[in-house]
Amino acid sequence: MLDTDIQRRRTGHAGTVSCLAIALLALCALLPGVVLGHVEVGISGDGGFVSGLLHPVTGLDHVVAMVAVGLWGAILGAPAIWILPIAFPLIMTVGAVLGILDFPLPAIGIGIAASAIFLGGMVAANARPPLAIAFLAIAFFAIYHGHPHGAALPDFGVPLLYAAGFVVATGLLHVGGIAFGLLYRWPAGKTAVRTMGVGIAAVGGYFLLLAIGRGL
Amino acid sequence: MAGHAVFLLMVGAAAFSTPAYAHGNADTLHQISDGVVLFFTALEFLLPVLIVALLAQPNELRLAIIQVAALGIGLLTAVVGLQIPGDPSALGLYARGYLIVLGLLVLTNLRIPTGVVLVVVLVTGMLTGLEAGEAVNDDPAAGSALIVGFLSSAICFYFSATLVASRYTEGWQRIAMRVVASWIVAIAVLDIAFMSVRSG
Repeated sequence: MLDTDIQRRRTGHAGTVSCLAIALLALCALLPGVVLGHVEVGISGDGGFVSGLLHPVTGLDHVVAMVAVGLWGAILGAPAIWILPIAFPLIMTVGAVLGILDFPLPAIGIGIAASAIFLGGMVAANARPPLAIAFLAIAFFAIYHGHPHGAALPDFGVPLLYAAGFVVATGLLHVGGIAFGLLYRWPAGKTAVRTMGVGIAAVGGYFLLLAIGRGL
Repeated sequence: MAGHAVFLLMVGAAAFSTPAYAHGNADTLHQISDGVVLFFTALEFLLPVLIVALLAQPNELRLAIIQVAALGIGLLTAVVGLQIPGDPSALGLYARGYLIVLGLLVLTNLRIPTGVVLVVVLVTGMLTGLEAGEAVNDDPAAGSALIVGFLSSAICFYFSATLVASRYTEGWQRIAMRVVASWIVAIAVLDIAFMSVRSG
């Protein structure tokens, strides 16, 4: 009886996956030729999707902080594991809007580096503050991470595609952090995750020194 | 069942092009292709589809039907020259505003009266259609074949996306949908800011 039930579930799951795979493949077959063949502006690195996609991943200080958000969410567990990665891009958007509007934000370089130190430190120390505290910390640093993205909007290209690339890249970095953070449930994984936290904090320290040296 | 429907829709989408190619001349073919391209290469058309698909409850196609109908009406309204009152350039702002509303509905998972949801979806579909109509009007040589290409690809994508998304009922799958909805909200907010700055 149990075997039959498990078999039924497996079959259902396989069916779902195969249907999804078919739909995705069909879409993939439709899209590339269409997109590459007809769109001259907006897809490649001209202020469009790829520009937005590359912007968050070309700065190591941004990358490590965003990965750290995912790692910390994974350590904190539900509901933080999904609330923090939702909150960060949304609040980062607020920071980006401030950047677009040329709203001045003090010591941006220091703020971003400090975020990597703080978040890496939280991961390394296995810190589990209340969700509200974690949320406030994330929100504060997200403003700093969003501001340069908005301020760096190219004068050309397609803003909607740039925004999509920027948000998707940020979200995927969080997802990457969460995926790695899920190793935390195993002893060796816990060591790896906490070591990664130390590394992130170290990278943040390096960028903090750079920022102080530049007077940012 | 839904998976089979998705598969059949995809086959239908592939098959659709064959009779069109067989009976139309080269210009018609290009216009149909341009209509398909217009839909699939513009996030302002794809994102409303995706967000309504995420909003749809399991086995519910009502929202997709309403949105497709509203999109068609909005598109034809724009093509015949009717515009929304006020500044025409504000159309994108309105459309993105409704995208944010829909995104927040998915994100917060609030229990909103069905009638309100239907009205929001209807207005979003109309605004998307009006935007599409403006894009069609930008190409004076575009004929009805372009509209056919646009609407057919829109219909296929609307129903496929809704059917696929409405199958995801597990807890973590609904959370993933809310994450995607938050991304769409963020994209729409950024686009509104970009548009506001560019329009001075």
